Amino acid sequence: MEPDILVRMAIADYLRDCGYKVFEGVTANDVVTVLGSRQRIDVVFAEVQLSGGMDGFALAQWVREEHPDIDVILTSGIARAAKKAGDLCDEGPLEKPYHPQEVVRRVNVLLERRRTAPNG
Amino acid sequence: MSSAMASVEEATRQPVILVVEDEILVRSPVAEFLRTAGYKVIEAANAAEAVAVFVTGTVIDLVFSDIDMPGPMDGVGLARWISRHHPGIHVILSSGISHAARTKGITAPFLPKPYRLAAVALRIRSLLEDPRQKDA
Repeated sequence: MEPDILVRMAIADYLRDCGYKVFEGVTANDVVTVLGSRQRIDVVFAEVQLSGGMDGFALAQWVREEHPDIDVILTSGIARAAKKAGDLCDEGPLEKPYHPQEVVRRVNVLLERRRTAPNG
Repeated sequence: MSSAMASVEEATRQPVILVVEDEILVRSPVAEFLRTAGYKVIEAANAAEAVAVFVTGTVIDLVFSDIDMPGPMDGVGLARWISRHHPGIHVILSSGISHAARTKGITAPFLPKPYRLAAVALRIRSLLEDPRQKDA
């Protein structure tokens, strides 16, 4: 989820080139809509500053409560927001500008952790 | 780069489709279908995002846009903007309701919703393969 189309299309294209299926959303509501349609999602990668009633933090908490099998990576260009995102996420914040390879690395770490989890 | 090389590159370039649609569950399947059909697809959630992509100078061959979108510019406004600023680019408009009165004077073809994904791809292919259809 990324409100800036130029940032979103760049990272979405990169992830597709790496072999992932990508949904491009703008608001947290897009995530709720997609998950409500029973699409299978493994990881949500979201900007903290999202417009609408739910920002990235609220989205991460909602996903954790409603879909505990889905991992969330938060990112922000604002240092304070990125630090708070770090408190919510295991591996810490992903500060902008990020390198696309770092996004892929984090996605892979999370997917691998799910694969190897005792109850997964 | 020589002009011959440039024209070869242009001839073999993957056509770029800009899909403009605010509903993610409509936009995403269309975009994925078109990617599978061999197009490079850029997804925009509203007209402002579509304009932002144009402003960067990104090469776009065709715009497939919903008409009914939130924001100051809807699909009809976007089609007019493209016609004014990028007159060589094909536009296909789509909506669940008729906008016959508002689209008067706009040359963009209209595809009513709900549409079949194959019908979208067919319409796009025919427009890109026969540029004369642009003003049809």
